Amino acid sequence: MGLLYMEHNSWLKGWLYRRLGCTSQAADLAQDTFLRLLQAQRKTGEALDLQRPRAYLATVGRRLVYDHFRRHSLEQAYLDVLARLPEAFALSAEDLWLMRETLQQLDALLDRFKPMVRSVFLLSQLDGLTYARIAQQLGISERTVKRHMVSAFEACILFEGDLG
Amino acid sequence: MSGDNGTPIRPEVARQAAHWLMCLHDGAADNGQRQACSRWRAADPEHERAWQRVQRVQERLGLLPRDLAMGTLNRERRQAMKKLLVLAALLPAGYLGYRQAPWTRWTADYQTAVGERQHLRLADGSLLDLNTDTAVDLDFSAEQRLIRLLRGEILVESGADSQSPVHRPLRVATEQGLLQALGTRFSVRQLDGLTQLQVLQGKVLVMPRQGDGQVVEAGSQVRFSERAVKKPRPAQADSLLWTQGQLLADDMPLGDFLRELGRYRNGWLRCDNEAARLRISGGFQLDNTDAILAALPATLPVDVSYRTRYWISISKR
Repeated sequence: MGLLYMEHNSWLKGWLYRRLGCTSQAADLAQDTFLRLLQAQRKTGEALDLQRPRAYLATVGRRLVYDHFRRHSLEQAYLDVLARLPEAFALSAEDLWLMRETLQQLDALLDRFKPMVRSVFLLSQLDGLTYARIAQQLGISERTVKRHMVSAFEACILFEGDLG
Repeated sequence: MSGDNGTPIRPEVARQAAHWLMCLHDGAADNGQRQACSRWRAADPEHERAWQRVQRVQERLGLLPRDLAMGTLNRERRQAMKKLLVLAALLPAGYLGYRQAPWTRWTADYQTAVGERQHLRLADGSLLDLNTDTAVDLDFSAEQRLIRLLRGEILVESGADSQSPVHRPLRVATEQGLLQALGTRFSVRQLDGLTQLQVLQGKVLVMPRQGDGQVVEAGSQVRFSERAVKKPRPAQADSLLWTQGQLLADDMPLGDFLRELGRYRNGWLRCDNEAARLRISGGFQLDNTDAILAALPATLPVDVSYRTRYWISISKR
């Protein structure tokens, strides 16, 4: 792993820089990429397939770049909504921090849903709408709503990310 | 996470739990169903763990004010991501890509936006042209030169690869299979569920994911699915004029012409059935598709109506 790091770290940083446009973020994500590989190695207990280390690093790196942008886009949406919520002023710094953490966890999960499945799931869980109402609101059949609910629940159960 | 030891839940258990949850959330569930569900949960600790995982998600959702949760978690993700990537600025434009893996869409090595084209010289001396709305990843190793076509259409002219001590095959991977160049110039287009290959010089070996391989000779074009290669047809060199930003129509049905034109512009382009059967001929500059559309009524008996700049319908006059 040390060798892998020495040989490819600067290449990886350059690769990430081209996608992120920021040197310090690129350096951070390069670290994360190697960290992921270490964890993967530890989990399987085997040495990684180093036939094509750069392809391997790029695959992990791509995932991280995507996550990075996803978190960023969530952050912006969060700030936008907060600015429009009057009661936000009453929230303590701790509450805000908790909400942000919670959002990040849920967002990683919901990002795996197809857009329509996500809408169906949130309308059901946040607004408590019946399947018939959801079907009406989204212009789809009730059967489709049910199918989407099943796949949403299924994804919640199979999600291996961190939900605290 | 009470009771969850982190062991993955088996897919069939997840599926069953999801069905129960869906039924009980309906509000229409009766007592009999509720009791049956309780029995299912108690039957196996794994069932209960699956159940608890959903409860955990619901608890988390419950911590958030409704408007905040809806406004953030249900945001339009693709648009938001696109904007961020544009802000990053150093990327080539165009972010559409792979169906199965959403992130490859945003992070391919080379991509073009709708209406954009790109000409590249690769490290091995190969030339690569990207047509509109195309994304590729390059994966060159000691053993092979692999181009992954994630979306769109490319023209490849394989280079000598003189830097490499051993011969490295040049390959193109698509959703349906692998193509191997046998000294050559060829184009590959990713269609919906099919790959289209056109060989201009040399030969190309086509290997569908699950079917038999086949060599395609210069002057031929084929389409193939995951399972089989369809019958070859003569290549149409005209269809590669996109590399020069041109579209050539020779007595082409207007419907086909508009479909082709639609690849190079954003928005909806529709025409009625009667108009679709009209024939059109001529050479067109793809860099200005607006002008092509505006000029249509001068040569054909059609009306072009613009509901917005991105929603255009064409009907027979």
